[in-house]
Amino acid sequence: MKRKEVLKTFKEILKEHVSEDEMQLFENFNENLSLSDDLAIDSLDVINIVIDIENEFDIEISDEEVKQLTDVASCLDLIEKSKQMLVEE
Amino acid sequence: MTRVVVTGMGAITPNGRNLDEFCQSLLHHVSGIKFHKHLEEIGMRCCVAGIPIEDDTILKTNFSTSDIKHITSKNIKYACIAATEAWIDAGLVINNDIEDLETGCIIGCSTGDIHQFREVIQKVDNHQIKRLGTRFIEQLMVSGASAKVAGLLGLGNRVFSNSSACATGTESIIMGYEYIRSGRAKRMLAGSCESPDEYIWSNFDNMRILARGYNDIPEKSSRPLSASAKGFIPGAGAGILVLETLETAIQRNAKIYAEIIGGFSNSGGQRRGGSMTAPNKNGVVNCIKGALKDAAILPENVDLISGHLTATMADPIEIENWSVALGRKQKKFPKINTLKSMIGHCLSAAGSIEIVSLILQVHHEFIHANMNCKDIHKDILKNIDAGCIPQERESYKIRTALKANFGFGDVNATIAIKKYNA
Repeated sequence: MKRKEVLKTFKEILKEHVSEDEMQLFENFNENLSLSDDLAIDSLDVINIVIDIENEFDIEISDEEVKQLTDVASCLDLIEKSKQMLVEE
Repeated sequence: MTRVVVTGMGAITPNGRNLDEFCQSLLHHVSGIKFHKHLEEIGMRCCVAGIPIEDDTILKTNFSTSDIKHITSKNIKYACIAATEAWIDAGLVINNDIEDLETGCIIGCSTGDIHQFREVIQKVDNHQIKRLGTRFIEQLMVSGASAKVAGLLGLGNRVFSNSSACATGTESIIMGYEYIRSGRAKRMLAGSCESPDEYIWSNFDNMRILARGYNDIPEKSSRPLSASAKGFIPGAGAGILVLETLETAIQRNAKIYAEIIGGFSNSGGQRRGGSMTAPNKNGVVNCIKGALKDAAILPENVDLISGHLTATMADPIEIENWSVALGRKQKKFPKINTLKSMIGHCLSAAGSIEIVSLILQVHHEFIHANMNCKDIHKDILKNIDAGCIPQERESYKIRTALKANFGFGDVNATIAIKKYNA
């Protein structure tokens, strides 16, 4: 799965969890956007996003990995890594 | 002793989306009770209720969408709307950077929004825990309303909640008043909230204490003090006051609606005729007397009583209790009215909404009419003169007023309010 495809799916998940105020950021969406500072996503929202990621990509994300999710890039990296591990298994 | 005044109010009620609309409804006796199809569909015999028309513009105007996006419980949303309105009405500014150490809040409710509980129960019972998400706890906890209000407004003093059935609202304002009077806070938001909840109302319906036979004439259905009263009409909403020391109110040149001069809450201990559902008369009388003593006022100085008066068979007994507690009968009895004739019984929100209405009457110098009681119950007239029960709006300079609510569990709360004199 290419990063471009991962990003597209991830954006759709994210849209379900951000508020109207932050929707405008999707026009100039980039991987450096911070989940908390830019997208106003708090720690409970992150858990909900993780649940959606797990269901959508059919992967499992550990508690330790959740703590590392701070921006869009970290989410994409984790999804790619988890998918890759699945392929290798 | 520290004097405590009311400098701001907010309300969302069955007949008012905000304080101004509520005040106009009081002045013109607009009923907020309507027929609700969904109550008929689930088989309730009482299909009329006082459900507020929700307008959350004030939240969208003052807070970011991320601040308010997770408010799914109705009682919490109502509390946030009313608290924000009260805060702004008091001329206070929302500080998004630091907490206000001098201000706290107490917001009560009888239970969390059961529609939210239902979603959790359905998902857990269907083994769908992963679909629960992460937001239900903050919506289910009884302290959910006070917690959310404190977060929105940045309150840094004591933030807590109370729950005493139908006495909750009056009790919360007494507790806020007592906390300021103790010197521990300069300002408290105080009030209560209640969800429109058929899961609760259907139980009252089954207990045969909701009115039947008025589904076709909703505005006539809530009939406190009347010989044709058949039970109460359920309602929902929220009322929140900004209470603060007179000193800080004067310092910041705030508008002062009224002064809280005392309050008392107690229980009848479910003895001497009291039970889980009925009050011990002695407990009620002691509660009223306790408020008079706390406020250091004489019974003859009370101009207006805002009664609990729900439109059940308890109304004549309540009138008798007031008469005994005040030692005033017939024409010497003060004026008495009940908001429930217009909006029904908002349960845990009843006290706070009724206190908002009482303060509006004190501030604007009028007494609203009692609707639907042209046929006053004969047992009531054994104790008080019919002239004490206004049938039309009266212009009246209320100096001192009492408000009481009585709740399941045999719990009572009475508060004393006075027109502010510098």
